[in-house]
Amino acid sequence: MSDVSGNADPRLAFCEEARDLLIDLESALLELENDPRDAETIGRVFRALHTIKGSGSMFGFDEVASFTHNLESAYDLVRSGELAVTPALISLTLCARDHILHLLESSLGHIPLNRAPGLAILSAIREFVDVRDAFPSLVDLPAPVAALTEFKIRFAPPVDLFLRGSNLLPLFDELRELGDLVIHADASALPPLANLLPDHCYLVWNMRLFASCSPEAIRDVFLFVDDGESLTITAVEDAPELAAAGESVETPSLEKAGSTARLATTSLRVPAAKLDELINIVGELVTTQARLTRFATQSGDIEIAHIAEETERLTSLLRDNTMSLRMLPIEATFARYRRLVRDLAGELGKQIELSTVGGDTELDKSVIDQIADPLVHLIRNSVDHGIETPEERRRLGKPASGRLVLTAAHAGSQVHIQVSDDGHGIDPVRVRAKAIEKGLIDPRAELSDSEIFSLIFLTGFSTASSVSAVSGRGVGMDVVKRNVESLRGSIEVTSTLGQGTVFTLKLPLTLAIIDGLLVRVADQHFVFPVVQVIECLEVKTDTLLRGREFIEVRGKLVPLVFLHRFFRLGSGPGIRTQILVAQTTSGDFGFVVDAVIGDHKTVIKQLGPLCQQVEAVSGATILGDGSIALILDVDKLAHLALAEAARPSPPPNLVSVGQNS
Amino acid sequence: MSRTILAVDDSASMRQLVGFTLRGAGYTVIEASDGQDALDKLKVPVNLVLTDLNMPRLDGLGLTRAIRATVNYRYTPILLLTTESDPARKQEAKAAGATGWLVKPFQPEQLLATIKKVLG
Repeated sequence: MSDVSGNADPRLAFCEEARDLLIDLESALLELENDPRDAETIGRVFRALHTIKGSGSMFGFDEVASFTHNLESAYDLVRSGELAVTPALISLTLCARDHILHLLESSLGHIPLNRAPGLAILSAIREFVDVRDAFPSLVDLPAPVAALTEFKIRFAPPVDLFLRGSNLLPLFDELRELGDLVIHADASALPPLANLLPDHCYLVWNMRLFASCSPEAIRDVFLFVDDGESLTITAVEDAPELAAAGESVETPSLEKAGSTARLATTSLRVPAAKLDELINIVGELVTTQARLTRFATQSGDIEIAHIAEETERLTSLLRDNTMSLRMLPIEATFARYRRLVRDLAGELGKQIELSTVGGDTELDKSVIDQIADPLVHLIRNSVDHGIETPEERRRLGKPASGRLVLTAAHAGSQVHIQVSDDGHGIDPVRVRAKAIEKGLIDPRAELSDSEIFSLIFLTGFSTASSVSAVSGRGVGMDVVKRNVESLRGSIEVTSTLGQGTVFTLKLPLTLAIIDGLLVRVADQHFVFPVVQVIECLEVKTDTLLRGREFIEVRGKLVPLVFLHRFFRLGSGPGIRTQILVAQTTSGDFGFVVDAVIGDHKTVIKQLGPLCQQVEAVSGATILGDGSIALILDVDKLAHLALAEAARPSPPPNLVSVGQNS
Repeated sequence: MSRTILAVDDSASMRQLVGFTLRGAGYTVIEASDGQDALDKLKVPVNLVLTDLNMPRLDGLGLTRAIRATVNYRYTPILLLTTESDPARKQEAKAAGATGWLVKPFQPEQLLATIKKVLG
């Protein structure tokens, strides 16, 4: 585990903040495109640019600051109504926004710097803004820093302050107008409750003000409430330096825009690795807890059983709480797609309105990270193949502008994410013809519409009659399915010809907990992901031995994997044996085990770095008795078994399940 | 929601000037011609009282003391308009319970700034 210290590089903190600002900038720009006169959105764009520029120069990102400055000037003109928002300006700003991101990344040394796009953007901006006075030399930008002074203000008001109708809040607001203010209330003079008069003022305020004003200006603020001795003001030398070194984390942003810094105290930015570590530890606590409960039950000691029960309650609270820390609203991911849809639609000459529903639905950060790509595929697919061109849509009597809707909603322990469009839908007849042509199905096969639609997820399937630059050759769909399944999720498609298509992703809320089926092979325990298990069978072992590698389940041949053999455990199955039939990316497989023990909901522990090469195992969990069970990656397991079977082997024999219990 | 200011002055032109400035800034203004009139008009919620010092019947200081003695308005901010900046006078005003003061003559902006200082 790498060391994640709390006081990370402030430059990195700035970059994090800047990335967030850039995301917001992007969505603000896209909103502005729809409503070019909305003053609030213009303000948002300006503030984002302003903050990136201001903080950028403070943290030494001069390249970022000077580039952003030009944009900021342009939007200053927009704000004052001297420059109109045009689609060209928006497109240019979007490019500039990408370039700012590029500058940020290259300043961090992640990628080599490429100034060329920046220069092109700058010369384009010059067409919008009057060059002469719109760009004051950057040198005088940080000038206010020099005049900034830190004042320590102590205000101990007379006790009868409130009896004269005074209110301190407006005074604090007035101080904030002078500069950045940190206020601490000193409640040490508060008398015991019995002696406390509710309309007397017992509090003393200690404040730190970063401002470029005179002490008299501060004294003026307190004009009505100072009785001559209640106020002391001292100026501290070299304030900016002190502020940077001192504990006043939220103060030194120079602009009034520093209010965002104050907001930050209500939420914390924590490195994801720290959360992972916490979840790991909580996972261990949960298993230790299970051992305690077991021991307490066995001991018959009521006292200890009580304690165990109480710890069990606390542990599960702690576990749920910890899990919820990793949950993020999906909004941010949705927001990214607005740009994608806009650009794609522009490229393909289509008009598309993207709307999102349920953006506040929360799911595990790791799930969010990993569904981003599959969703891009689905969106591209809908934009490219689903929604028609405006002309075609008009001909069909639909509104010229197509609708693409992203929906997220909770459903039990799952999250359902839908990508739906009102395009021309999937033609089952064409899909069927294509599948037969590709040799994916038998020409005589009778398939329902939903079975036909699911064919599009097969490898090597594509119905797009033309290959476009946007969605390529349709190789995406099988990859999407595989990605979703690797998240222990599933994907479904429904479609009505001429009316649209809906893709539904069903994903687990979290990857940190697995709903498993605990099995035993010889003296070892393994966990299968429940979502992939179709059924459990019990057969007589002698019908399986003699090298039979297949079993017939409801008329289907299912290859078998003998886990004893695969993991080289024990001598082999006993008289009766259990088979778990599971869905894998290589088709259905039967896994032969000694006993199915039952449901096992557990926290997944990652294997250590030494075991990264181990295939067929996705993690481990600690059982109640302290022993370890490996969590099987059924897809890999089936894949490995297939590879092994590809080597020369005797022809398979059949076992019919019908004759076994 | 618009905030209500009770403006008390015996000079009609002064009331007019104050009323005009405050209404222009979005406040609701109730006018009273002296301290007694002001007390009679204190029947509705008022966010601030702005009063002249020298008035017939009941002067500014008396009005201030009377307001501080009520149940409903004892914490209402009171601004005194005065022509003298004599410290002793200010001390007296404070002792009576005044929140602040404004020295006449003043610019409309000064009036608004002072009110903002008290009302926020």
